[in-house]
Amino acid sequence: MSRRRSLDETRELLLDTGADILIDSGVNVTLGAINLMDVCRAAGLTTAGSAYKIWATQEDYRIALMRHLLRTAVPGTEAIELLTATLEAPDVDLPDFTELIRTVAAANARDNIANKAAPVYLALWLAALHDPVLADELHTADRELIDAYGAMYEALAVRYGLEWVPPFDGRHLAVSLSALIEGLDLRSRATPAIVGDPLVRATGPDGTDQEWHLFACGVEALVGAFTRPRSDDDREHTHV
Amino acid sequence: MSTPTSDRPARRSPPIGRRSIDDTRALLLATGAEMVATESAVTIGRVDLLDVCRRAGLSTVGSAYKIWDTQDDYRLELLHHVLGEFIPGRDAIDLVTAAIADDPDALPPLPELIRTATGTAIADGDDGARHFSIYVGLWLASVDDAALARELHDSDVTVIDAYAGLYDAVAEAYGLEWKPPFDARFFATMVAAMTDGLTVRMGAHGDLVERTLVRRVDDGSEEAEWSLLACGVYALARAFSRPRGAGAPGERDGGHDAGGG
Repeated sequence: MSRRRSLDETRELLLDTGADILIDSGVNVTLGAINLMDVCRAAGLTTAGSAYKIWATQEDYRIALMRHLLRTAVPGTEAIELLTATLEAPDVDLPDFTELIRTVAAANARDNIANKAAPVYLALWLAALHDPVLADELHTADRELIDAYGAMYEALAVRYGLEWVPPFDGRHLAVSLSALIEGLDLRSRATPAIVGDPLVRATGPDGTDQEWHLFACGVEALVGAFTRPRSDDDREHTHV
Repeated sequence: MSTPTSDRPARRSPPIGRRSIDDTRALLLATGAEMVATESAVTIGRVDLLDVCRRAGLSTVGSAYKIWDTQDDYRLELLHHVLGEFIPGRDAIDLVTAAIADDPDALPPLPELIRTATGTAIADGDDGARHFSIYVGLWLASVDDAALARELHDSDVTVIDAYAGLYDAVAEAYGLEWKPPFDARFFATMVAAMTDGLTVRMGAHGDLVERTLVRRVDDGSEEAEWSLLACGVYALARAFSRPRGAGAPGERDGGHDAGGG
């Protein structure tokens, strides 16, 4: 006799299955329309009994699923890893700032377009317009994301001897860059030809050509406008 | 882009109380747009003409099918209607084009032009939510709908080209040129993406950051209220353009003038 699933395992199974249904159906099934019985069936459970031991109502399941999606749908994992590694790198290994922007932004854009859950994330925002509970959850998740990126950008600025041009801070950069990458992502997902190929720019060593993703060009422009070299040039090499 | 199938006037005046075909067309387009804007489950690709007729208070779909042969024809015209009505910033093109044509010498400094022209591109409150709904709904629906994606693509190319023309004219009027490899279409794509992205974010929850920032762009200028979009557009303009003839042979390509390390 096969081992019975624990409640935690069933929980994970039903959340993953619900997320798969939403992601695979694109935007044709909304969170509000997802049915716990269907999810149980898709997960191979014969009844919804064990599901209702975990969630009292279908609504409770939907809220749990939404939180699960927010945890898994947020793009930028590779970019966050690269930036964290940079923050923790010894001084001698600190990459050139322009090169950091070029590579991390390209990774971020790649992550985004490969992320099948990204349209679901946007669909959640759309649904939130008519659903206050969902709106609160999304708001909190997004604020946490912007805060996290904002803090990371501020730590990077310190690391690279930059200061913020008033009135900007890391959060303004985080909101602007999130908007830019989401805007580019929406366009490239629907109609890839609009966004086009990477640009070739002579930014390499000795003026050699390098490929620049559109987003990377935008990051460079916004970072250049929102920050400047620290006036006292007294760089703190703080490890965060 | 295809044009609406018919703008033909009704052949005779309708009896009192009956709508003309044009009135019915306008009513059903407005009702469909409202449904797309306010109901999360209704996207242009899925809007149902029968539902639209019901919502509009028509008892049958008969008059709708006198205007559109198929539901898809209706959806297509609704798409054009929505794109024409709701794409933000079209006014800005007219405004700036008129200012350049009127008297190029009377143009405000470039930061001021950008600040004022982008100031209204992101709508607040209910309008923001409508833009957000329509935008995201359109783009998302087009991921699964090749016909809608083609229409959206054509429409977007038209919009980007219109803006690129405007930005070339602005660059010309202000004695600027694009830094290679950038050009006006690239700049227009970036500005459009940023506008869309901020519309989505601000439409979903506008209090993530301040709606306006008080700043001066350089030491000599006055403090003024800037939207985050205006700050971004100005940053992109600075990075992707330069005074005409300023490119030096053998220069290192680079968009920004700050950023040490």
